[in-house]
Amino acid sequence: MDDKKLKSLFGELVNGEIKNAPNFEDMWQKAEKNDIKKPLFKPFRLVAAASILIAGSLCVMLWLNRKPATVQTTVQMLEWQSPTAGLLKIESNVQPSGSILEWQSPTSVLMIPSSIKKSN
Amino acid sequence: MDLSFYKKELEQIHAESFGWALRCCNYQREQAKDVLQSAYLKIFEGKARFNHKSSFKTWWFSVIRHTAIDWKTKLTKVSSREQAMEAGSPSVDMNTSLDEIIKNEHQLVFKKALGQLSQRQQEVLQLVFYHDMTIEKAATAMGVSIGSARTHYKRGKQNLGKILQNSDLKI
Repeated sequence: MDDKKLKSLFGELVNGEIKNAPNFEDMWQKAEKNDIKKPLFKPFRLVAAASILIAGSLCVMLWLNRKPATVQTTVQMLEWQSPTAGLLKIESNVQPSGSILEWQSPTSVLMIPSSIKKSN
Repeated sequence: MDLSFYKKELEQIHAESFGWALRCCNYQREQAKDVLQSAYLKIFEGKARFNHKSSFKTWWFSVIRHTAIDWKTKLTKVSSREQAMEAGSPSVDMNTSLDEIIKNEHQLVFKKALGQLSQRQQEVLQLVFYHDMTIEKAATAMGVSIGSARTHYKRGKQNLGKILQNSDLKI
């Protein structure tokens, strides 16, 4: 493909389009005054920033509220007793020696004493 | 770098910048105007600063391209490339001479042929054949690698040649 021809075709096309290009000075001054319509992203940014701020302050509030609760829990933990703690205490007071030592199996009568076994 | 430097440099390439903005906006005049205006605003806001890594024109063209991309994503997208190309077709008034009509006709055919290429192919071809950039500089302005720009250039030229061969405009 002929580069020269392509160059002239591009020249014709783009030159035709930019014949009525907007005036530079007008555009420059407009930009200087910031008098330009822009795609509006700023409100979205504002909303995003505001929601981040709200979420952050909420987290801080929650964290601050949690602190005394932790202290209370610690106190409660120290005072906490097992529901069966009472039973354990009772057991420690009982004197097991008498009853357990004297206990005999109900079938011990049926058992043959070892001295008789040996003689047989 | 003060504003007077930017003003001096930009004034020299204003028309070309508009031509590039048009390309980036699929030849939609109003959008191209807004894009170029926003690009100028970036200078005042300090969002666009020339860092001497490339030539001023290459840097400025990449600013325009990025601004156009921002606008494209935020605003209504063009339904089809062909529609856009037709919207910007040259007008012919009653006083136009026969030569002018033929010239306009050629432009229209060429524009339609260009419209059948990919965006990147159109961009690299315009940068090289109209804005006199090398492929390396075009790659910088387009924000792609040199290899990629070369491929777009080669394929773009091949495709354009094929399309124009089948049209009334033989090259």
